[in-house]
Amino acid sequence: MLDTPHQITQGLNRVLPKVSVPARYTGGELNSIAKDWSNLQLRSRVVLAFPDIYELGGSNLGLMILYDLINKRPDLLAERVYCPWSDFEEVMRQEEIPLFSLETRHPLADFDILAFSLPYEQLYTNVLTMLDLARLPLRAMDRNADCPLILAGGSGCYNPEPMSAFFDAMVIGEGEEAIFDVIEVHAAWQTERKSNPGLSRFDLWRRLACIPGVYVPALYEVTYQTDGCIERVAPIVPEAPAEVMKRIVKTLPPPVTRFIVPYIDTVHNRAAIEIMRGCTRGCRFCQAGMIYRPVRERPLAEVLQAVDDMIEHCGFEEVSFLSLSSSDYTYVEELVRRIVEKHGHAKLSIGLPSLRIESFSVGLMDLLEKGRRRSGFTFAPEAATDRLRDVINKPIASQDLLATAAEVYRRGWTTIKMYFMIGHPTQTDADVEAIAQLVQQVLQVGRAHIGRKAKVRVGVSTLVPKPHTPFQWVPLERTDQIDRHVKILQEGLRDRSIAFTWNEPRETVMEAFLTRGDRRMSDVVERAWELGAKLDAWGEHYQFESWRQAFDELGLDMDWYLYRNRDLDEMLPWDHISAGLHKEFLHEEYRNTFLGGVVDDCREHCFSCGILGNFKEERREAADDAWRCPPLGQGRNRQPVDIVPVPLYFNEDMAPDRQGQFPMRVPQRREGTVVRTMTATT
Amino acid sequence: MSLTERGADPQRLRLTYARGESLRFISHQDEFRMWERTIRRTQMPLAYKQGFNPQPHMQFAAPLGVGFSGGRELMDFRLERPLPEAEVAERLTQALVPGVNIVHLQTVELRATPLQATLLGADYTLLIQTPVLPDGRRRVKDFLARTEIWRTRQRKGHTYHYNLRPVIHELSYGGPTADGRHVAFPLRVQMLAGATGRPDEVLAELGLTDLPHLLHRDRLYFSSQAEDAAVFAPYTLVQQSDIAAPAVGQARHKTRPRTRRHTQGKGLSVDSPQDFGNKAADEFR
Repeated sequence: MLDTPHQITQGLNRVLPKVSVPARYTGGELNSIAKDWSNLQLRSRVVLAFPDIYELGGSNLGLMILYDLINKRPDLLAERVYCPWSDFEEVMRQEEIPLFSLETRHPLADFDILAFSLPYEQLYTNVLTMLDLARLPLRAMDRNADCPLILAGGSGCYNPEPMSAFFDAMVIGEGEEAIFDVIEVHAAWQTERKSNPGLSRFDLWRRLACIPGVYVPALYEVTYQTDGCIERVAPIVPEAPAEVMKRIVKTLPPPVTRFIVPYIDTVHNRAAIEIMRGCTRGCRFCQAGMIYRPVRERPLAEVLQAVDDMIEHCGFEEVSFLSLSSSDYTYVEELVRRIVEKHGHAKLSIGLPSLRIESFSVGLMDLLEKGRRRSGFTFAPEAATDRLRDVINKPIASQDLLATAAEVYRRGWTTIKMYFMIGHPTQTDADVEAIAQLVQQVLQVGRAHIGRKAKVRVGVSTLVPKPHTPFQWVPLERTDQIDRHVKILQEGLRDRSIAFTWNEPRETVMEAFLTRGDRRMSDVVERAWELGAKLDAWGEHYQFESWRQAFDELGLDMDWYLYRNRDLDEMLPWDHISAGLHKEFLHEEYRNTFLGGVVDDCREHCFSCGILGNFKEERREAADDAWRCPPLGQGRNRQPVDIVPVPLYFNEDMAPDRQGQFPMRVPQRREGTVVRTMTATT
Repeated sequence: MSLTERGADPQRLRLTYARGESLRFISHQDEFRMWERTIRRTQMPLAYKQGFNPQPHMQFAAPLGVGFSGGRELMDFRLERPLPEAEVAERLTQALVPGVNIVHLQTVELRATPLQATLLGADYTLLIQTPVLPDGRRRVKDFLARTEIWRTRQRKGHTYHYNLRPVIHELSYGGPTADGRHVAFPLRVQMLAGATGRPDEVLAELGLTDLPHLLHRDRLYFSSQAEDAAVFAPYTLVQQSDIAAPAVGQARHKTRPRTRRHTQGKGLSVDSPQDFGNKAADEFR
């Protein structure tokens, strides 16, 4: 049994040459911080865990933000740990090496707090692997007062129930401020325990439950109806709120500029500077667009300074400006222009993920052309027919897409990457066939400009109806349907210049039951993990049969979780968690889905999603232009916005042949119209 | 840009550096990127090659493998305009990653022969993590007594046999190290294209791969240096054809892990980095 950093280092010297990519486990990267554990000033030691391998976790901005913030405090330290690849996991078990932190190689059990990032469902079983390798009890109920506090944060926590058994507390929403509240409460409890050893873990839970945004699953009791649906979720102590409201920060904290610079190649081996949080577009399938509201922009000067600092401290050859819709950032063109002016000669490449066709201008394209060139651009129309785009509320015009594609290819870029989803509500075979047709049209545009060099990469995934979105009530598409639609696409996309990739339907199924499941799913997760489910995001490890068997053994019906159209008045497993959205808003958007209703960019028109009502104080305290939501109070005006509105009309001014078709007032896009062409004619 | 600046010739610098034990698990590709970023942090005008995806003007004498530390590694790089050597060394020192040290820095002729072209060989030390190894001397003796040591390697999917013995010019038993924690085997190999001695293969032939060990490259030898050439003068250097055996089979191994996305047989091939890219794009799009 190896228990000290020295023993662990000895063990690693022996075993690392035998494992794949050993540099995953050695740490020591530039800008990583190894503090002295003997420092008496230290009040709390935190280890930040990402439940996937280093190559994925090393690029996670959320973990990096917390690492930076915590380590800036002299009385705290934060280290990192990632999930070992299966070969090293096996070696660790054989050699009795406990899971250790990268910075100082302390076993995880030596830390005060073990905080997991939980960004998506395929990583859930890895949490169990990591707890087990750390020799910690898997379930919160089985941990005594001496165990570290096991926390979770990240977007996966918006439906905390499937993982609720394994965490002491789960932070809902943004963690930059909440993490310090948790550390304080935990440190105070630890100090008190010294004089009062009788203080239990239950006592800690009650104190944590008082922190806004902190959900302590063990303090809630769930009862079920005879049909399997939830009857109620009720707190068992007065400290636990009936509804846990997410945390937000009023303004974005200063960006990280001392990124850990990895030695080995990671998925995003570059600097990432968040320019904007949240999105105003309101796509109905998009959980991020719903849960990261309100939209907060980072001032341009702060972004520019961050790039300068990053170059000095990290030397990355690429900077990526992160947001959910980067071309919607108010100062995007000025930002790119000034970065190219200042750093273009030094071959700094600029990444702008999540470009929207509507706001991606030719000017921006010309600017990006001047930097270190990338192979192409990515667009995500998500659906290929106007009708279906109205259903998902992502009104992009095919002709705009084709015009943009022409501009891209004309400038010499060879590849356009397009993302689509299948399995949207109301989708027909014709909608799927249209995807292939649209891709072929884009390729034709490319061929017209640059001949046979033109390429299109197509990624197709299946809609997983996510909690806290208007689609939370709709069922997952059946696997046989998905297979059939993939076949249609394979037929339609047969061309050597088209690369077509799609998600394995069975992996989609796992994502769906884990994102939509209730508290009983914790047993399924644990059982599937015992049966060998791990590293589920990696095709060669994914074991659907382990999951199937776990459901069967526990007497639960996988299909019931996946394919049931849920009633609007059903108690959903995540209904006691609030993303700050009014349920009426989600109801209305759900109805609009089936009535052809569309809503506009909410910078143009507030649709009362609930953010302003739930975060009044925060809005008042933030500067008028810090949020894209209208300022509150008398005499305040909306800031002027520079967007092209979706031309909407309501029932009363509908064409005579469509009048009276809906019982309620439904905003609709005018038939056959598209954003830009309307602007041209009005 | 002033006329003088435009007229200034680029400067080629030759850096000798040590890569410490803490960095022994990074690959050559990782090391290349590490140096590019180090020089970028200094904000000195690192010269880039022309092209769609410009690469920095950096050349390594001999890539150091995964698992090795190095005491005197060499790399050439170019700056767009000349700077005093002392300033370059100082700025580099400020920007180094933990585990790397600068041993020497000098300006060389822009048109000097690339380091790789004049490479002769290298000295290594194989360090076995044990205080004593009673049969160390015998193992070396047995190794040196053999005239042919056939090894099998994979290269670009092809399996081939080669004779390891002729590319190993010195091997001895060095006994316990000063710290008493290791036993050392000094090794001298030749490094010619296609006829390079690999220390890990020597380790395997000594039957020591399974013991915990460290591999260290002490220095490199170049034919362009008179004193280096003198060291290698007594040896018979062999060429690739001298040690090669006929290729065996054309079996192509696919060792790359399959990722969660499926790819249609036809169309573009989706190679490994792209798979990471796909996965990544999914996360952030």
